[in-house]
Amino acid sequence: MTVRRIDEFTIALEGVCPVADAEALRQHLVSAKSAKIDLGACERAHTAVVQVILASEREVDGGAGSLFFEKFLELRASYSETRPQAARQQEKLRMREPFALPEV
Amino acid sequence: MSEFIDQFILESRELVETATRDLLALEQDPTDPQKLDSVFRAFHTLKGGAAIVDFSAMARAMHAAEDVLAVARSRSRPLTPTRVGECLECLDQVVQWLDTMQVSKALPDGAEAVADAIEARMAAEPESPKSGPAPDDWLHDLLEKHAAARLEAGCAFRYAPDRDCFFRGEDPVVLLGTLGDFLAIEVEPASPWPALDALDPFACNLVFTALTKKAATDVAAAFASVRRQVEIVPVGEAAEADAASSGLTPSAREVLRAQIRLLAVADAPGARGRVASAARTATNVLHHVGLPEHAARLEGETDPARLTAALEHMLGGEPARNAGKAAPVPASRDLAPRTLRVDTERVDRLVDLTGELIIAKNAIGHTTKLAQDSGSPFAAALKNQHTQLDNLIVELQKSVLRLRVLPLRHVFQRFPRLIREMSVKMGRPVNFATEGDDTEADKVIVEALYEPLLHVLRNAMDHGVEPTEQRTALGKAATATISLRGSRQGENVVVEVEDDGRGVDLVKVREKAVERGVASADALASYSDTEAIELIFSPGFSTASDISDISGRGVGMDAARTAIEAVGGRISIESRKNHGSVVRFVLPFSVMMTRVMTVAVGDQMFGIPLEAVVETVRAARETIFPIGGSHAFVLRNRTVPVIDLAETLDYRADRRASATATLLIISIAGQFGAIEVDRLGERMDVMLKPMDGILSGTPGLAGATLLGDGKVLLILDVQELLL
Repeated sequence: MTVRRIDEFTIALEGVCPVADAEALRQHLVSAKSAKIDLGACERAHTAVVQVILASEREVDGGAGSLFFEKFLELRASYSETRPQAARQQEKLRMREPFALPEV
Repeated sequence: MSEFIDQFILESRELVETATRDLLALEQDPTDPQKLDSVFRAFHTLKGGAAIVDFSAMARAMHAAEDVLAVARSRSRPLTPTRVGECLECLDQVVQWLDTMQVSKALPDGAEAVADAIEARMAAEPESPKSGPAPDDWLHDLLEKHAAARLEAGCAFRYAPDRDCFFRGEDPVVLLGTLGDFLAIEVEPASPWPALDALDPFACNLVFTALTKKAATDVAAAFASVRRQVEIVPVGEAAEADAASSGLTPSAREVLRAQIRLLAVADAPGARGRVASAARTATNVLHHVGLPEHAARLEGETDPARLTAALEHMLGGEPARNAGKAAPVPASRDLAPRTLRVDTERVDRLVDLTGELIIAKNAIGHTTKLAQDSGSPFAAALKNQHTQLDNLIVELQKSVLRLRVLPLRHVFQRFPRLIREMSVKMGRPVNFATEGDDTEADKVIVEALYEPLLHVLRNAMDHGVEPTEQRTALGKAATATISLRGSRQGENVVVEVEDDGRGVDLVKVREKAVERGVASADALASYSDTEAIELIFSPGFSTASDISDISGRGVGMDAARTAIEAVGGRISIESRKNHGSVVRFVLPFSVMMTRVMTVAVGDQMFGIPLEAVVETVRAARETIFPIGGSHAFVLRNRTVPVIDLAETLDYRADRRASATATLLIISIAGQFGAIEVDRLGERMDVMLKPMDGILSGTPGLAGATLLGDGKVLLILDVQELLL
């Protein structure tokens, strides 16, 4: 399984996460209400998985190994820390630097 | 008035053709600015023409369509397929009006109500393609946030994947990854995120907007598979649309730019007048778009440099782009081919006269021969002059023939729309391609092609192309391909219709042939596949189990063959099961001259079109044997029916005396027959004229021509004689 609930506080994604992981991740997030998402070992994830991460508005760890996550989620995470929940709901994710998405 | 109307009808038809072609192209690529401009110009000119003939209803309808196109041109709202469809319907209405006007030479009745309906439809808000922000909003937001990136950007795009895109195996993030060269990218939910326990993780709710260094065409190529879900705006022009929202409409900007260009050449004679005129025009434009304060700044300005600077300032400091902007779309006048519009009737008259000239020349040939035979001292000189005249007339004839040629485009361009409509109606996606539409042929040939091609293309859609699920099951591309090709091969024009559908089902063809009594079971057993496939051209044949309104009334292929043969062409079909079919039309380049062979029955000469004659044979009388009420003989193991021309034409039936029979072997539609005649004459090129007046419709006669000695030569229609 590429999605694992490590404990009450951490859900980890590993390797390449296929589309089916989206539902698994969602269920873990629903059951572990305060868990953050650890992307340290995740190389790439299907858009459906990315969408669940975005929708959850949870804190995200790691992702440094993947340019994609770095760009998409780091910023998401920084917003989560500084913005109140209500404002975040409307907030758009943005990137200011030129960047390249991972090769596929 | 009538003269205006004639001219109006002629011009409008051409404009409708242009607009239809460009609209169909826009449906493929809604952002092509040149096509959009061309369609806009066509509608605009149609509107102008309608105003000239006081056809206010049409002018209103055209104006309504023009408004829709103007919005698309300003890029604030792309041209949706529905809008393209509405514009096409609008053109259909114009054609109907033109047809009525052509007959009545007056403005059609009830046009006002129709125009009202068109106006209402065009003014209605189009269905929004997606919930979410209006297209120009996202663009505005994106450019505002990334003002620095805008300088480097090639284009901006908004990618809103369908909700069910994951089920089709699409992975938008991966797709974005293939593009690269991003300057900025944003992702947001298409609709606000629900709570996690209510979230459907497999319904895509993301919208990506991005700025990239890549050009719009590259982005379009990268997103080719999901093109419908992506909106791409070249940033140079996006910036312009953006600026336009601050007050200047694109057309106003265009006019102001034109004034700058005018001022650039203002040191020529008459400069002062030009400066004043530029200032006045610019002032008017600014008043018109509601910027009187800008207008006031220009009023009375006489210095060209200051005026130019002021105009450039209003355009947002874009002097460098003016030169480039001026060039891209040359005025339609420059592009207009150097042609002369001539009434078809006058050309036909010229063709007729050339034909008469050939007959006169043949008469001189006859006289020359008489002079030679009688030993006249002028014989040599006459012969000389006759040869010269002959050469000149051949040249003249060629030139006259060139006058009446039309490109196949004339008929080809009527089909893309038809295929598009059938494709939508039947739910079978089809990629329709035409090739060689600039191949030329005589007008008569080109016009004769429409009906047969229509039948064949309908058949291809209805019987050839399988429903999508069947195609997928067979491992074929879901989108079928139908191509329509034209080419010149020697003296012939070849037109082919190819589809990659299921091909002709020979088993079914044989079954139906027996069922419909087209051929007996015994005869069928001996038919090769090539012969069996020919059965689909038989009268009353149809393999469609269910008769649809697309085709399948069993008249199509039979009628197609008849029509093609009437102009001296042939039609054939090749087919491979599950690979598709090719229907091939081989047509003469011109119908004007026909090669005939003359034959004599008693003292009467007849012409028989040489293309039908396979060979001539002399057969011993006893080899011709009676079968039932008719006769036949065996030619190389094939039984061939014999028709005695004298008997058929009620001359005399006293043939038994001669020991041998002179027979012309004729091949029509793959069937052989023999015509018995008394004597064979010569081969000649004649100008075949269809019979008119009292003789028109005489069975067995294709036409008549004059011989050198003044006699009338009747040309026989062998098809009618034999079949």
